[in-house]
Amino acid sequence: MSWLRRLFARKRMEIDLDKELRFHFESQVADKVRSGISPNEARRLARLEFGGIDQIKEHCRESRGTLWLEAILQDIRFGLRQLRKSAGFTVAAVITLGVGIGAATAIFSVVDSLLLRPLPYPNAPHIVRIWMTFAPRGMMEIPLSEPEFLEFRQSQNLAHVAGFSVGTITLTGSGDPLQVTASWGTSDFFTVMGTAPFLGRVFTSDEQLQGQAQVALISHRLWQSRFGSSREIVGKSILLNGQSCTIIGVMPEKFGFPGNDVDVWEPLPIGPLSDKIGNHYLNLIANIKPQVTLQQARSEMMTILDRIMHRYPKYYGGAAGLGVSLIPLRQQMVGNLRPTVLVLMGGVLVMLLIACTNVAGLLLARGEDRKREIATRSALGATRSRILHQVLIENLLLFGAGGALGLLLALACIKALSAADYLNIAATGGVKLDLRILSFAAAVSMLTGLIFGLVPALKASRSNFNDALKTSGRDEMGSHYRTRVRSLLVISEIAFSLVLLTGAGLMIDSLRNLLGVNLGFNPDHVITMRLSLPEARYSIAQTAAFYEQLQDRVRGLPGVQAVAIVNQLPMSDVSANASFDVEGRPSNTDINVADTLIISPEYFRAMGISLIRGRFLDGEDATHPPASIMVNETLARKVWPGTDPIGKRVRLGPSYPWLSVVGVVADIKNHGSNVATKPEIYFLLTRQMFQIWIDLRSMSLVVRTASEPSQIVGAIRGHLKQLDPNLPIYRISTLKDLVASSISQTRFPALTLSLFACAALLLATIGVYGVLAYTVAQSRHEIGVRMALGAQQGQILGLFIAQGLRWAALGGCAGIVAALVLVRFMRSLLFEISAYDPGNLLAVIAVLSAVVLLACSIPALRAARVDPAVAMRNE
Amino acid sequence: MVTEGRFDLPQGTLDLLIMRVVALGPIHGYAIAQRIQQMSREALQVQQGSLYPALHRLEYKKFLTAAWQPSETGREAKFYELTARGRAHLRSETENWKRLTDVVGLILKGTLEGIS
Repeated sequence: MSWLRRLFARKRMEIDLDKELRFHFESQVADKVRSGISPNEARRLARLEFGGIDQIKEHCRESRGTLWLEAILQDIRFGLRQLRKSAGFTVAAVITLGVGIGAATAIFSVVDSLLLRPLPYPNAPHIVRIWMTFAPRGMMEIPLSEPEFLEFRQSQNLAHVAGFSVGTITLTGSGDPLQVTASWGTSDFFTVMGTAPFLGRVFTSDEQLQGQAQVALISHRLWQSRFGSSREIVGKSILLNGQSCTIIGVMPEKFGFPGNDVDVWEPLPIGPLSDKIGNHYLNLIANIKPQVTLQQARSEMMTILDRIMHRYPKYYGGAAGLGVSLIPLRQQMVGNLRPTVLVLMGGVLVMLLIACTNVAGLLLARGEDRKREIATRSALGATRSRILHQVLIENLLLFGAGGALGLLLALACIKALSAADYLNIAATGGVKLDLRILSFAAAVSMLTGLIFGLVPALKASRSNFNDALKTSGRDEMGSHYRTRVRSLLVISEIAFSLVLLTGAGLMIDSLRNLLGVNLGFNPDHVITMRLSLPEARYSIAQTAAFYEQLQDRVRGLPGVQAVAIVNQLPMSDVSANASFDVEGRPSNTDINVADTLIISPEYFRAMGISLIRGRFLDGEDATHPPASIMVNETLARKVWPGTDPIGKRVRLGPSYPWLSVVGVVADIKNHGSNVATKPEIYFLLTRQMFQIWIDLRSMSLVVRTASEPSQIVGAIRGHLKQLDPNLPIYRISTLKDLVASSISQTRFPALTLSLFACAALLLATIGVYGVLAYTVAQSRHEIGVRMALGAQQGQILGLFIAQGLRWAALGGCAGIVAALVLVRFMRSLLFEISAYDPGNLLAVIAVLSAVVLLACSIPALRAARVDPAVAMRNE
Repeated sequence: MVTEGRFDLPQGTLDLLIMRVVALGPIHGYAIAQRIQQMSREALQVQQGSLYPALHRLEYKKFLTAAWQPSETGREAKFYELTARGRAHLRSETENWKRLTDVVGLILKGTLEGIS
């Protein structure tokens, strides 16, 4: 451990070394004095002979072995001092690195969890979803009916096939009633998923067949929140929709299929005698056998479909264009997010490039600045490896700080991204910080740092001391290799920023277009909530009576302006439709399809939907069996173009009564701002309502208030408890929030890309400013000469502004080309704007030019204010 | 190490000369330089820039040890002494040197035929 001792005895050694050399020097002087030279002269001569004492010392130090630990500590101290001394550079570099590394790590972690990491189901790679398709009507994901499911189950290429459906169910007993999402699955459901329960067992095929066995599995979440994580829960009974049901198992925490919000799984009773061929409600999942391709499985499915069509000729009637599609589970789950995620990934890559470029530029400029320092140090005896070590350590410090900042930013970003529920990240197992990605991003920027940090240092340490001291601090403008490299860096930064700005601009325009869409209703001051009356306790007449009472009570609350119910609220995923016949025309159920909205009379007033023709449905209409309906403009235009629809009659089928149109309402965006309005028919929910396959018991309550609408929820809850204490309310939300969340698919990438673009713009500004300021500083002498020779301030100013504009022009051109190539990848995210929108491109160019000009003007003004006398005296 | 009228020392020979001088008894750096100059009849003048790094190198390699002692003038000076290891090294290096000079001498002896 001699090196360790020496490390602590360093001071001692330095003193000894000094003493030893001093002794030599004094002896030399003494000898000269003895030979008759005057003491002063002797000292002068001895000093000349002796040479550079620091150089000797350094060589002595080095010959005493490699003092690596000491050297490293010294380098770290020195490095920290250097970084502190140039705080501007340090802050800029650390922020640049942090933003680049952090953003890249966060976005790539999301990409990884959505697109790359295995789903949290053991069988996931072999799981496919099965849909029927009907291309002629553009229907690509049609659920299947029970007989079809039983046929598909015969497949040789599929190991297991399971059907499931999703809905909500009321959980009562032990605490407040709770409306939970439930899934009903056939016995193979858990076999296909390959997930074993956390507690208990899954249901058997017997339990599935009987259907009446009344068993259920519950989610880990429900087990914790409702049953206090009690292990004795298995075998206990709970009340589901008022019926007693035995809990046979608890699913593991990560299991969230078919949706992350599912809390209860029950067996789906399907018998071999199912004959409801027309009832397409079953979702199918299956395991593809190993060594079977998707293509093979699909062609077998097509054969089976042919068989089905022959067996049920009356139902299918040889319909051409029917098909089957098999979609891998992951694609099904994240398929529509793919473009968003890929665009973000592209954005973040460009961002990392900008960050690297910026750091490179900063380091280059700094390297130039330190040429003199390095030359001095090598003149004082520092070897090249020592200097390189020092620069390396300094870079490591810089990148360590940048990396740490990046890590923090990445963690914060991941937290924010996980909270964006539309990304549906939880369903794929949540985002984890990916250390591989963090190290990759750090390595990329580190490599940049090494290249652009070490190369100048290497050059400086090799160069001749005199030359270095002479040229440093002055750098002629123009044809200089290093100037060219710096210009290239700035130009690429501008180009990269332009690409990001273009993308962000397009997203923001899309968002603005979406926000500007005329919804057809007024979302302000409206609160909505959903109720589901259990079938066991409520007949249709009772349902209608219940909702009438509830509306009457809520109407009496202070501040309430209008109360109504509706089965499908705008921007919700509830949707019901039906085909209809038009009086006096042949039945054409392929074309005459409309969304069916069940409402109460005040619905249009509560929503703020305006009347186009005729009259609104009123309380009078509600007192007798349905005879009147309203339609929206789209339906009126489609079915009765050019004629007045008032008084025309339609019916839902041969066994249904004729209904006459009494009014036409304005189109509203029922399925989202970016979805075209479908034909719609509005019915009143009445006590004498005819039997119809639409769920009439689940309704959304819509309440328009004078002030802040969410304050009224408590009062509504109170009235509800009086009417039916076992009825939960769920999906409580203001209409405004519903509208906002419906455009999150655009809002999210718009905000993220804008953030990237702002950061990129900031980095580019720093880059342009830094390089030009540096050029100005280097050219002070030349500016001085020019001014002394008669150049005006304006000319000098113009010189540097022109330099900045040249960069902007070159970078802009390169950026436009790159942007035009890249933007087509984001086409599917855009709304009512072309990816090549010239307005957007012009705006981006204008913004970028303005920023470059701003970044240039400060150093250029500084250049123009150079006092020639001072500048030239400086040298 | 090069000065007019004198000549270059082949690489590595300085260490050998220093150890040879130190072998005569404890001695400080300045005296070593003086002694080499004397013994070479003023032909070799060792510069401090070479001497001290060499001394420290030899000390690090444990061929020399050093101790602070009063010098002839009374001031404290760092006196170097040969270690056993250094003595063995000096012996084998001296052997090597002799053999080398003998061999080189064999080849170079005789007239400068063909040169002048």
